[in-house]
Amino acid sequence: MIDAPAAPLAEKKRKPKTPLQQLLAFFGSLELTVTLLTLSILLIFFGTLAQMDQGIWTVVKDYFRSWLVWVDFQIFFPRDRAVPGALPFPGGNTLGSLLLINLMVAHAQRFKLSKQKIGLSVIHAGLILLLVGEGLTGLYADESNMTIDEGGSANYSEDIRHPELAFVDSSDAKTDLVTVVPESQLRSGKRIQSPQLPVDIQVDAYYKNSVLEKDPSGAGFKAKQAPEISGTQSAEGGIDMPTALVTLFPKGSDKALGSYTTSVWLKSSNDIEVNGKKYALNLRFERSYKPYTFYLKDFRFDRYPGTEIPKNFESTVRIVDTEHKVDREVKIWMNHPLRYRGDTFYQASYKPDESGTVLQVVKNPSWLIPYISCILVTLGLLLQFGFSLSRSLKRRAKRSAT
Amino acid sequence: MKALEKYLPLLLALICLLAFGRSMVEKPYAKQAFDLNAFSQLPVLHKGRVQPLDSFARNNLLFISDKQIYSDSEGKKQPAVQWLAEIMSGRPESRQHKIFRIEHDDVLSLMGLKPREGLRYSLDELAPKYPALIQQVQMAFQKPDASRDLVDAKTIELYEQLEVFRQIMAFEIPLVLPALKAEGNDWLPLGGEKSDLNRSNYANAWYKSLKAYQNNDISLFNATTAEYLQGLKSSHPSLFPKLQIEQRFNLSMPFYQAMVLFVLAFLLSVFGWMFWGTALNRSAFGLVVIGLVIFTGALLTRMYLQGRPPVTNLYSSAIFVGWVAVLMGLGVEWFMKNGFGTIMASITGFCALLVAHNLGSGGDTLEMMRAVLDTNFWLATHVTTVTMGYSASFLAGFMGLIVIIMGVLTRKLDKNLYTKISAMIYGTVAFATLFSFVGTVLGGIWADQSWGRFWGWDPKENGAVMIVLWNAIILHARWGGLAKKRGIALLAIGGNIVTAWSWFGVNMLGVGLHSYGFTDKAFVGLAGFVGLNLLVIWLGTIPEEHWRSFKGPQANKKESLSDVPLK
Repeated sequence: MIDAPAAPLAEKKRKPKTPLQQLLAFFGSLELTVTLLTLSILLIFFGTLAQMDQGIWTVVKDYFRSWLVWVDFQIFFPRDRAVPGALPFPGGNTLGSLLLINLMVAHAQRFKLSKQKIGLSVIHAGLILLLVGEGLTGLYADESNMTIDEGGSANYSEDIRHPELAFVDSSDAKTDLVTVVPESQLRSGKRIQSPQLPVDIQVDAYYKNSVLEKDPSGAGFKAKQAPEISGTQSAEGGIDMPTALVTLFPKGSDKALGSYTTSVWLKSSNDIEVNGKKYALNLRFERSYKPYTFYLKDFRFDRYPGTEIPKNFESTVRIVDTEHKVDREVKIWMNHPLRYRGDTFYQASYKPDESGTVLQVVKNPSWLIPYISCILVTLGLLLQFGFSLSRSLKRRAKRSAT
Repeated sequence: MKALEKYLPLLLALICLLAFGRSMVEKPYAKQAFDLNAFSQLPVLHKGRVQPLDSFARNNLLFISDKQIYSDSEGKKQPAVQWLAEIMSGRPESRQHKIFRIEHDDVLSLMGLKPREGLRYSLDELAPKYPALIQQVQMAFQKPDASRDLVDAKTIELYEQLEVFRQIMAFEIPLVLPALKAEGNDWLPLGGEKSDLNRSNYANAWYKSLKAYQNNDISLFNATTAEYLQGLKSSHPSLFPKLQIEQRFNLSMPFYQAMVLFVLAFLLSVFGWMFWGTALNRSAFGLVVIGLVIFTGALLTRMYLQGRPPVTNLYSSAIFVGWVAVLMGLGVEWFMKNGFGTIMASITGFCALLVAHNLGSGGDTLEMMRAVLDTNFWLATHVTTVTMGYSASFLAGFMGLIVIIMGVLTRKLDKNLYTKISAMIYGTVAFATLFSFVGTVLGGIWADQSWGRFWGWDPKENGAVMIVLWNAIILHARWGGLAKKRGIALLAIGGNIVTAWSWFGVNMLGVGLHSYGFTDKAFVGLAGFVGLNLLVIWLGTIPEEHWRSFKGPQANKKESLSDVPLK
């Protein structure tokens, strides 16, 4: 039958002598591999359970792109009874790095160019690439949404995971001057002071997700904190809609200018006046401006006849790029993205009344790496197992011949 | 006796083929006076899919009653299509058939009913308390999803079942008037506006048939229905022969037949250990092969009807897992030639089909694909490979189960067989690694193609990668000498748990938020499966020298005998 290709390795292992050799032997050992893989499975399992309550991106940050994670015991129990306590566990960065070290040391120790081993080397080279690729994606990939109304246009995309507080100065007729405060500062609770800002800001409350309710006392709205959209919900398209309640002060003064509710729910901004200058204040998703403009000519949402089951979403977009002298029409639909100037545009969603499209815009310089590593590993696995299989078939044939 | 032993495999194979052949040529619904054969072939559009009335009737009765048949007022079993004909024609007895299945005591008392055998109730019994039900349902709908309890869920379920019945009575579903153009989508319900002559011809035929059915005018019903069906054959030729094939597929129940064959094969193999070894093993092998042929035919028919690769939803993934497992089990048999592979094929095939059967009770299993899934390329590559990975992992796990149970509880395992099975498990795990890895990465590529994110750490992706990692652990543990024969078998059983988790567990995460999620049928099934595997793992922690197979003088003799030819 199929034989273990590396079984002789384990037998050949000689007793290391120096502490360095011992250390290397430990880091290159299959025992370590098995331990790390087991810990990885557990981490992934915990990280899956945690998504029942927490947002997918919170979990990715806490579990998979961290060095240490505190796993709440609560995730193992029904949510209607509270269970306190948590367990420290190595995070994705720790396990990924140790696996990389393990793999490299093991190969450095036992690397031999032979027909039997080539498959293994190719598989593991592919895996290293995959791990590195995931690391790079974590560092450099950027995702945002571009919402365009039918007949309208857009030249920026919004990062729905990163809200920002923006002061827009529209006094210049040609361009707006925008100053922004990132989410991390809004959450800190400290008074925000900066020479670039026209005012000092005190954040009275910051809700990662919120709902706006009609104020029973008057005409206005009242913001209420809402639970974070969990990983299982976000699969259905839910996103967090943050709200910040802020009080503004003139620079260096303690006499409040006024308190404002800013929320991504609100389309109109708060108008404020500081030292005779007008600013529009609003909480919005972080924008990144593009050197080109997309016009939405048409958005289509096809359903199966007689049902509400979606069959296809499709946007017809005109790209106008004066810099590159481009003016053309493209169609973007399910499973058929547009790649343009380093960004990739995917049909992601649509406005609730179907009057506009939502495109996902992704910039990922390392997008090709998984493709290459996939080919490598598949090739390696086929080589490895094909070789073992043919060997055992040969042996079988020999046995039945005698 | 000798002759019987010799010809038994052939005889059994013939009987099974004849039984299956009969279900393929028998005239459908021949017992009924009304021509339900023609009636059940009539095309209707429901949930976006053109289907024979037969499928519509079965799926909806299944949804309401958990069965595809019902008992009429005389207690006789009748087909779903007759139930549908009675509702559509407005016959009063349709309100008296006990079809609504209500399990929960609180829902029963809400409806003013008492538990009875079968727990099925008629529309007339439910009607008086309908307003009370509506009130409860409205309250349940006002609660956010996560705070609904089991009673809420069951109340809503009953409401939805009654709603299906009401919609059929009101001709809201299915859409029965075909589009004018053969390929068109604009089907209409009966009773709506019929702006042109052709449409009203269809409508007239329908009204005439239903009226005849209502008046018990058998000959008029049969003539009108047959004429209408004939007319459609010339005006909408593209609908045929799919309608007939689907109706025949429903009637012949090929997956059920394959299940029966797998059970028979398993029993024959087990008896083969006691007497007539060769004859019974061969018979079992023959039955599994026939089962596989029927299975394959059914799988291909589904693919033809849907125009899609084999796996399109959870139900079809169970079917495909079974099919691949049977195929691989027969592969194992080809390697080992001692009946072990046949047993594996029959067990895994049966279990997968049983799971599919339970998944299929939710409604139409040939449902249309949602937008993002509407891509035959990725369905054929990613989904198929990942499912093959599940299949191989389960096969390895089931081999682990059998070898541990055989070794610990029986005297049937000897050292030679133990070594061979262990090698088989290893080979199957290698296959599983290949398929689950390639499948998972293809899934990543699909994700990159469709929303620009190769890997998003979502529950389904995590489940898939857990299978890959688990199989990698088994391979590395073996290479490092950390796990020997017993260790490999136990790890492979662990693979059952990991695979079941990523196949079903991750789908229950949303449900898990509800406190009643833990009493869900699927959850109980999964927990039972995990418990069973843990039990066998615990059994396997007994050192080998204490296993029944390796204890006592008999086992030692076997060991020395079997070791000689190997070396």
